[in-house]
Amino acid sequence: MKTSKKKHILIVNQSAPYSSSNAKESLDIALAAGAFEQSVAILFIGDGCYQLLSNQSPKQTHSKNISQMLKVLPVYGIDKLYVDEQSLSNRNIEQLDENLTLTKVSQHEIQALYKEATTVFRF
Amino acid sequence: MILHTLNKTQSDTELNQQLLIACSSNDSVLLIEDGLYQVLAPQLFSDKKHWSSKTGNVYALLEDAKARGIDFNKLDPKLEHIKFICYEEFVALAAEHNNTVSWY
Repeated sequence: MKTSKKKHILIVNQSAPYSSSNAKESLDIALAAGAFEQSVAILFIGDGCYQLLSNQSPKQTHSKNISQMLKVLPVYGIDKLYVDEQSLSNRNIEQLDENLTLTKVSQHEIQALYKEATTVFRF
Repeated sequence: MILHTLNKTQSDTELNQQLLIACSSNDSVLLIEDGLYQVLAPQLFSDKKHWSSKTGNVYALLEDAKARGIDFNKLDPKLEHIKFICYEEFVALAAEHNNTVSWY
């Protein structure tokens, strides 16, 4: 049997967590790709940074807590989480959820992420 | 006297600009859903090109702040005038105004 080449998947999150299903759907793709042992990197940029705030409690709005779900990604072998530092400073976000292991990246590094990827999904 | 409800972040520049044009000084703006994220950026509220330069009557829906991890006790002092309200107060606010306009 031919072994298929491992894909390098980049998932770009540019949407805030609860007003659309984008954040949830990007997680579904990440977890599915992780289950098939593909290499997955996730980049949070623009309003996607708002997914990383601590103390989210969407109970009243009947949504699942996105930051809680992000926390389990390393269990599925997804530990490459990046956040655009420019997007954070534009939005005055200083404190991120400390349970998440995130790497802050510059615009130059973001370019490299796109270059490395064999497949890119934007949400 | 209009109640404007805004449910988008500052990233939706065209929408925010249209609200700037439409808003009068005796109108009120209520931030709901993703509109809440604007309170994390206090510099917006001293920007003449931001809708907040038109009115100081700014409200924000408390439940939506909680859902998004926005702590209204830790806001910039410049934003003290923003009143956080519950759903019942939202209803009262809508009744107080002649009209409601949704910005989405």
